[in-house]
Order: sequence, then structure tokens, then C-alpha cells
Amino acid sequence: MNLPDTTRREFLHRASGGFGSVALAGLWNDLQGAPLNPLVARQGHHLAKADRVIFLYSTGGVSHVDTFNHRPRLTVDHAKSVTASRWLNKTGQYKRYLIKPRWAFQQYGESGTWVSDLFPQLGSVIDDICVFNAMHCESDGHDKATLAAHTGSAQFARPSAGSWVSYGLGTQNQNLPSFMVLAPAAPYAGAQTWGSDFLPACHQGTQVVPGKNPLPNIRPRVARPELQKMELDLLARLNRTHRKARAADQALDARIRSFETAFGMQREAPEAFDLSGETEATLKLYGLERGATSGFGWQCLVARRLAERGVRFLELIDVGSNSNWDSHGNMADHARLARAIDRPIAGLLTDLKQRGMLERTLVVWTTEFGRTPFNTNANHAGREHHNFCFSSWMAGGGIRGGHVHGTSDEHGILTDQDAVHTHDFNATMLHLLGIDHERLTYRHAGRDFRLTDVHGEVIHDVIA
Amino acid sequence: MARVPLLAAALLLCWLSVLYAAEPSENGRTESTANARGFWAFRHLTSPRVPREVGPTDRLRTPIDAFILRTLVRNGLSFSPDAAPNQLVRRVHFDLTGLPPTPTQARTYLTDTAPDAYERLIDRLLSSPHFGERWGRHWLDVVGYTDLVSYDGDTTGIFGFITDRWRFRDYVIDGFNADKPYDRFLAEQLAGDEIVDWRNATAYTPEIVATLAATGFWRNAEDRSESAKELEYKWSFLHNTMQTFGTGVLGLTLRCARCHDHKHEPIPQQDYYRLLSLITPAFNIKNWKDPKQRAIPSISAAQKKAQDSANASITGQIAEQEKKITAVRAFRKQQLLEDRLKSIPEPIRVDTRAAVAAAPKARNPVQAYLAEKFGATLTIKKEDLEKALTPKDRSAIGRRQQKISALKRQIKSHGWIQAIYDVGPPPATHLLERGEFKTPGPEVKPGFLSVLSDKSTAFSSLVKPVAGSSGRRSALARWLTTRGTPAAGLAARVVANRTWQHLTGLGIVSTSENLGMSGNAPTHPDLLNWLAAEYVSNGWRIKPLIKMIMMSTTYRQASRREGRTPAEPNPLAIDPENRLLWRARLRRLESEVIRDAMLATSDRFNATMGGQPVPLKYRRDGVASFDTDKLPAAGSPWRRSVYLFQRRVYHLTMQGVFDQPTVAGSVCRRNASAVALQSLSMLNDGLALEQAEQFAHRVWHQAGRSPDEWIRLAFLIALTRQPDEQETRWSAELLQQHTTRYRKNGSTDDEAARKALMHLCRVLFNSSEFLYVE
Repeated sequence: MNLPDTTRREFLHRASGGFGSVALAGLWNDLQGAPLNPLVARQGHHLAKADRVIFLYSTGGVSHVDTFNHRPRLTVDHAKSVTASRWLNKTGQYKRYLIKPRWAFQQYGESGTWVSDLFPQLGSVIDDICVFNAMHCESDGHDKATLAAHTGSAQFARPSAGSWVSYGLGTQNQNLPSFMVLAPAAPYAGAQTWGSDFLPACHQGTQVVPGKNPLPNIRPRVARPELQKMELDLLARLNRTHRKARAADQALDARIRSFETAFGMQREAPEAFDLSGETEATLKLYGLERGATSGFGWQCLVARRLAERGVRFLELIDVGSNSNWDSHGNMADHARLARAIDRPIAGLLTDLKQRGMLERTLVVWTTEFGRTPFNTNANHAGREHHNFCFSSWMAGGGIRGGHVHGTSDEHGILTDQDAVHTHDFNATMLHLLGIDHERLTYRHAGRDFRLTDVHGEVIHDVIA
Repeated sequence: MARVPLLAAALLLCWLSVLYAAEPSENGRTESTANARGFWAFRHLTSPRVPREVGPTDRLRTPIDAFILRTLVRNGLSFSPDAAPNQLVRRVHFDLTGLPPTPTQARTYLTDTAPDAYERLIDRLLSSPHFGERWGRHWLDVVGYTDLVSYDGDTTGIFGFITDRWRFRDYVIDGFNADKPYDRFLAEQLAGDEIVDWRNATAYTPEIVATLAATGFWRNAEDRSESAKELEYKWSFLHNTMQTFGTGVLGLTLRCARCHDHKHEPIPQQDYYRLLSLITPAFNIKNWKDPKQRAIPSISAAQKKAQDSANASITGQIAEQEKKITAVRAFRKQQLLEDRLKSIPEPIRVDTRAAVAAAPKARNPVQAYLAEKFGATLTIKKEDLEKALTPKDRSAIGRRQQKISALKRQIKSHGWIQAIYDVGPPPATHLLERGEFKTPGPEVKPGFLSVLSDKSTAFSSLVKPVAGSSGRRSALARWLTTRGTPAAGLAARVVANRTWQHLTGLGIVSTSENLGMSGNAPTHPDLLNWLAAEYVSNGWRIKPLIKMIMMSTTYRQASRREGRTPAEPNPLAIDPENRLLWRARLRRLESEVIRDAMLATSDRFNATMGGQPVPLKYRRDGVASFDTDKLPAAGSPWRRSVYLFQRRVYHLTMQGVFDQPTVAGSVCRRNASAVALQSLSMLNDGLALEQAEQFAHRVWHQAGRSPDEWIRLAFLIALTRQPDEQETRWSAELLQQHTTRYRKNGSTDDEAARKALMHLCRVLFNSSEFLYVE
């Protein structure tokens, strides 16, 4: 990628703030044509409405008819039979029985958007949220659908959306990773969900495990930064000389960059994770006890602090591939899981808004798929995987709040109006960041790849 | 490639489908796997002809090169020159032992001018015990080895009975060192309990113990049944075990076939349960043994009986001695009491004695008064009693205590073997509708994957029950290793492909966990078949296979192409990802190898092999460190990483950040990420600091007294090469800066120089050249 001169100057200026200024500036002048900092912040294809993304992911498949897709007929028709076109991965004609939602729905905000009693706090900020009620994707398997939601491909390992955004836009703070994942555990498909795959490795997500020491070894062992800088200057010289002779190995670029990032992180990260300066009011907003170092409230508040510091793409995962939203046996589990994220997310949206950040921060919430509005009998306590219709939402960052996009049939089985495929969802997300999803490509194995493969339509209706 | 005319292909397919027409199976479910028998990985293994006249012959060292060069030439490419000898010796050492060459080892090779120097280097390292640790680690990944058997979701606590899992780890390492043929290696792991007659053995030989421990192969999946009694956990264990077996040994994903006919592989659901029925005699849902119950004492039943009775007799003798010691003390105590009673007026003496002896609550008011008044006088304190002991008493007690210690030393304990064995007659195994144990379908008879079986390898012709065991798992081993069968062909291809992956960085099939139809296509199918055929004809021994690959030009190439003339085509433009191997691949070292290399470089490396794992302790947030209270020896933290306590999720920070995987099943490939957390660890982790200090210590003591000598030796130890003039200058600057600073802070010249050296050593640990092998 050729960078305009102003960007290059800006970049060198930034680099001089990092370590090894003398050595680096000198070497970069020498290395004509060598790749410049792949993480330097840059503009997309068009004017962006959002500068960053906070991507919230609920693992396991959240039931749409129990959360955001209010289907009164489902309650009325409870225990009536329907013919399902597929059951547990097999197509055919299956007689199944409708099951009413377990939770009541209420209208919230000026917009009067329906939200179930699982998310009362989200209800209170619903006028900032645009709900997508006609989402669909190809796969009803956890691994594949999780990958599809993150990488646009259910079939193969591909770069994660966060990696694509990092690759497209770089990042605003060279001292923090461009793409960070705050997750107590990996979802289905593991770390592949935030992998960079064929994109340069510096774009892969850095996982932060909530805890007392979220990033191990963040504190320097030397008394003064300049002592470490002496070591790093020599290291930069050695590694650059080594890399120069091995021009084709981008892993080596990533390695060099990782030391530069690490050096900056030592200063910036402890600060970002230190919540002691947050007021009681703010902690309360997130439902967080003072001193707590885990929980979704912690993840949300830390996300805001990292967003403030210029991290481009933040992903927050609530739970791993165990004890998650995958309520085959008992939908009652949804209550526990919703309680854990409802207030923190509402707090995040409120906090971002109060600080004037919501306008430029796109907050996205999604899951791999919905859950069947029916089961083998009406008394069944659980719901199965359902990818034909589910719900997601976006807020802030140029999104039309208080809007509901897309409708399903009266039982929430199939999408009806304005269906949105995962590819459309991703295309819209990129669009708001100023990226044309058809033009953000990477040549790999002889062809150009992109997040949306050969699909995806930007949904203009959801944009304010 | 010659094109098969469409019509001919269609005819061929018709013919194949007639030949392998779908047959209804024993319970009426039809299966059609016929067309898939022609898929490359499922065919009989035959050795393809080695290509001839493929290109310039001067670089053809082995048949492997002919296969590789043929594809290179077709694409307008050629081999890169051989790697420099110092790079090659480094590569060979890492690949065979997981350790860098010591300066002496490197010098031995670099100064050896004999034409077979390289071959002898390989032979030498293949016979190093570190070979088994390196290649054993690869296999431990494949089977998903951990030192625990249970669930591992709690950071601070490890639940369940976990004793002595290490016997399996040691079995694997020993197996690689002995170059145990894979057919035997696999048979022992699948069915070692059916190979040795452990049930009737009067005494266990080391061979019996090792062969039983081999069946620990089946004990790697998460087994929560010790604490969680629900059926679903038992089933979950079985399905996970099947998945590990499928991925690890067959190179196929079986998981989908649990619920329905596999969509991408020719594996009907029926086949999944056929395979499952081979392990249900050992893992019988209706007669389940939890992990603790499954463990077998490491001595035979007869030995245990004799041991228990000997221990009982010793315990009796100890009690006898203790009784006698007590008697000596009691006698002296009584005497002391009588003496003291003399100080009490004679008329109340008897009453006082009774009052003091009575329990406080039982005393009447008079007794309470007496006890209160004389209690202190009549209480014999421990130290008073000790003082009152006569020299004769003391020597009698001392003698008996010595006897007790001697007796205690004679008490024998035994360890455990985490094995499996048939727990009773085979239960009926049912297909599970949708994979749900709550909805069992028709019964399924034991068998194998249909696509890889014919009459000669039918279950009935391979099964030979032995006393106390159904023989089903032995039959599975035979099915996988009977030469000339499709199943053995696949098993051999899986191993050959992974061996190639470990030596070149990428498998011929890059998805080395999946050689099936949904896996990636092989880049060099003929070569893979040839390697697999050679492997089998060499008696399933891996050392000749490894050596053959390492002797090739393909392996020996440099990792970079220098001095290309403008006339030559640019290989980077033709094959940017180097899939065709026009140069060697630069590979990041695995997490364990990085740590081991640091230990070797600093010379703190502790080469002790085998036995109990080195204990780690864990903080609530999962950060692991050595459990200093429980370390068996001071040098234990410097043992190789393969001997550290292995959990599923929580690893030493340094290991975790360098992609040590979460062990939730078979791991066939490691990730090689490059993220900032790794650099943070290399800069700030205690291990990096400690090892850099030790490395500096070594250089200080082994090099001369000038900075240039230190720099030269440090580069030689860490990177197996001399620094160039520029690097020497840069390094000298760093030493100078730090020496000046330390001197200013009051260090003596020597101290300052030595401390400065640590900084250079840490830089070398952090260099790309240290972390990557080329």
C-alpha cells in the first residue's frame, strides 16, 4: 500500500515518539520500498461515521423470540404445530410445536421498541439502538456460525473482522494493539475467531483475560524507560538487519512491531486497566464493585478506556464454549446470562454518550444464531439452533437509534421484510468506518479476498 | 497433468459404483461409501515411481528431491542453494532435539571435513535421548496429553485423581528414543492391556508397566465422572475420545458422524458407532469406572498382596516399639508423681491423687478444691518428665526410635498406572439418533470405517479375544496397521505428512489433522504416497523416515534466495507462499523450544529425564509459576518444558503467550503468532530476566576479559555464529552505555561490566534469529 507523503511524515513523527527513534528513522530511510508501519492510522475509502468498533459477542446462540423479536402470535399459538423444513441439521418435513417466549415484552423509549424483560436496562437506552430482527446466516453449527459472524466464512479459517479493520485503517495509538479481545474464555472455534490468518500477523487480536493481571508482564523490570530503550535500540538494529535479508517473511515484520508495541504498552496499558480514577457514579453505571477485576461490567468499562486511548477494534465476549447461551435443555439459563450483560452494556452506551464518544463509536452486539421458536413438544424447556432468523443490534457511530430493521414471520421462524445476512451486517459495519467492503481486499493464494467474500449489501436504512 | 476424458471418467465412476455398490448393513441402514474409495488418501498405498529427468541433476540427493524438483521446474522454479553450514547445524539440532547446538557441538560439525559429516550429525542426534523428548512432544500433542484427567476450568484448584499420568508421557518419549515401530507403538496404546498378561502376572516387569501405561492414550479426554455422575459427562468423554482418535490417528474428523451421516466425508453415522463399540467394553456406560477406579497399582496383584502383608507386619512391629517407649515414660512419670505426692500431707494424699486423676467435670466439690490446690504440683509437664528420664531410659528410647525409623523405611508403597481395560463383557452399542444418548437407535455391531475396509479387514477376521478382554481394541490396531490395506495406508500417510510438517514447517497436506475430503489437497500427493510407502517398508520406523527427509536437498536449502540474476524468474512472484518449497521455510520455535533454548543457552539446563512432573502453582487469574514449596530439587525449574506439570488451559505465562495450545483434544499443528504479549514476556518475565543473568554469568566465566570476546561468545552461544563488524560495534555500544551507568551508580568495574552483559544477553534472547529457525 502506498501511503501519501503526509501520512508518511505523520508516521515518522509518531515513530519518533516510540523507542529507537534514531535507529529506526535512520533504517527506515534506508529501507526504500520496504513495508512501512502497517498499523499507521489512515482514512478509509469515504468519509467515516465511526472511528472505532466495540463488538459485543454473546456465545452460544441467543434466542431472538425471547429477547428482541416480539412475536405476540407465538404466545397466542403456543403448542400449535408447524412444519419445520429442517431439524437438527437435516432437511425434511418435521411436525414441531410452537413454544411461547418465557419472558414478557415491553415497549421502551420514545421509539417504543419492544424489548423483553431479559434486557430492562438495554430498554432504557433503546433510542440509541437499531435492532436487526431479520438476521440470518448459513450455518446452524456453533463453530461455523461463530466463524461466519467473525470472519465472514463458515468454511475456512479467514481473517477476523477486527483484523480486516486493523488492516484497512491501522490504529490511532501505536502503543496499544489495534485489535483487542476482552474475553474470559474463547468462544467456539477458539482463538481462530480473532486470528489474522493470511493478513499480516500484527493485525491479529490480542486477548486480554479479565483478572488482576490482565496483561502479564506489563510492568518493566528496569527502573527507567531509557534503560530498556538502550536494549531495544540494539534489538531493533539486529532484527532489522536480520529481516532485511529475509524480505519475504512478514512474520519478522510482525515480530519487530510486537516489540515496538510492547514498549509502548508498558506505559499505556497499566493506565488503561487502572480503574481507580473512575468515579463511583461511573462504576455504578456498569454495575461494577470498586476493586473488581472481572465480569462483563469490567470488560465494558475497560473497553471504554481502551477506546478512549485509540484502540481501533475491541471485541468483548461474555462467555466461552461452556455454560453459554446454548440453551438446548433449559431456556431459564438465558436469565442468568442476560443479567450478566444487561446493565454493563447499558452502562457502556450511557457512558459513551455522556462523554460524547458514542457518536464516533460503533457498538455492535451479535451472536452466532437464534433459537428455534418450536421444539418436539410444547413442554420442552429448551430451544435448538436456528440460523434462518435471529436478532442483533448496532448503536452509535452513525447508526439510526430507536429504529428496528427487518421483520420476520409472525412466529419468528423465517425472515420476512429486509432480511440481513451476516455479510450485509459486516458490509454495513465497514461502511460506517468509511470502508467500501468490496474494495478492502488482500491478495492471497492467487486471488483477492475480502471480509464479505463476494456478497454483502450495505443497509442504508439503518444509517442516521 | 494428463486429462482424463470426461466420458472415461464417468465410465470409471460407474464401474467403481458397481464394484462397491451400496450394501444394506446388518440392521438395514444403507451406506454408500463406494465412490469415495477412489479418493487419494483412502486408496491402497502403493509407492509411486520416482520421477526421472526432472531437471538439473546436480541437486538431486534423494528421491524426495526428484518429486519436489519436478513440481518446481514445472512452475519455472528451482531449488535455493544449501543453507550455510552454521544455519544447517542449528536447524538440524532444533528439529531433532528441540535444543540449539552447543558451541562445541557446532564446532565438531563445522570442522568435520569428511563427506559424510552431515549424515553422521543426523545419526548422532537421532540417537540422543533428547530426540525422544522432542518427537515425543509432537505425539503428546496429537493425543492431547495432560497430567490430569478431569475438567480443568478452575484456575487455582485441580480436581480429581491425577496420580502418575507421567508414565504415559515417559512411555511415549522412550518409544521415540527406541524407534519403536508404529504398528507396535499404536497397538500398545490402543490395546496394551490385551498384549501383556497383566491380570495373571505374578510380578510386573517394567515392560508390563510401560505397556499398560501406553493405554493412557485413551485417558486424555476430559473425564468428569469422579465428581459429576450424570450420564451426559460419560457420553461427552466418549465422544471427545472418538474425536481425538479420529483426528490424531486417522487424520479424519469423526465428530459430524456422531449425529448424522458425515456431510463431507464418506463416513455414515453407523460407522461412528461401529468404532465406538470397540471401546465400550472398556468404557461401559452401564458399568462405569471413574478415573480413580480405573487406576491400576503399578505392581501386580500378587506383589501388592505380599507388599500389603509385609507392610502390615512392619506396622505391627512399629506399634510394638512405640508401646515399649510409652511404657518407659509411663513408669518414670508414675515415679515422679509418687515423689511429688510425698509433699502432700499424708492424710489427704490418697484423696488428692483421686481428685487429680478424676475428669474435671466428674469431680465433687472436695475433689475440685483439692485439684485446684494441688493440680499444678501434681501435673507432670513434658519437660519435667524428659528431665526425669535416666540415661538408661534415654538410651532405651533412642534405640527403639532408631528401630522405628528403620522399620518405617521398609514400608513399601506403589504408584499407579492410568490405564484402561475391558471392565466386563462387551455391552450392546446402539447408534444414537441425532447423537443424543437419550434417543438410542438400532444396535450396531463392532466394525471399522466402511470406506477403509473390505472382507479381508472385516472385524470378524481381525478380532481375537484374549482372557478377560474382548480383543476389540487389538482388532482396531490390526485394522490400522495390516500392510497393504487402505486403513494402514491412511495411518501411514498421516504420520508421513506430520513428519514432513515438523521438518519443513507445513504438511504436504497443510491440514495435518484432516487428510479427508474436507481437508486441504496435498501439494505433492505422489511424494506423500512415496514417503508413506517407504515408512511402512522400513518397518514403520520413524527415524529412517526423518533421516531420509533431512538428507534431501529440499530440506537442506537456505531459507532465503540471494544473488538472483535479473534473468531468473522471481520465485516470490510465482509462488509467494513458498508452497512448492523453492526455499526452506522460516519457522518460529514452539513455546517449549523457546524456553528450553533459553535454558540451554544460559547453561542452566537440567537434563534429568522422566518421572513426576515439575509442580506449578496457579493464581486465581490463571497465572502459573513454579511451586517452590513442592519442588523435588533446586534445579527442577530448569528441566525441559515437556516435564512441567501439564494442564489443559493454564500454562507458564511464557509458554502460553507463545501459543502453547489449550488441550481440549488432538493438537496436530501449533500456531506461530507474533503478538505484543510475547515481546512483553521476553522483556519483563522473570524467566527471561533470570536466564539472561545466567547467560551473562556463563559468558563472563567462559570468555576472556575484553568486551569483543564477550560479544563473540554470546553470539556464538545464542545464534551459532560470529557477529559481524557492525553488530560487534552496536553491541559494544550497549555494553559501554550500561557499564558507564553501573559504574556511576557505584559498581566496581568488574561488576558493572558483568551487569551490562546481562542486557546484551537479553537482547539476544529477543532477537528474531533466536526465536526463529531457518
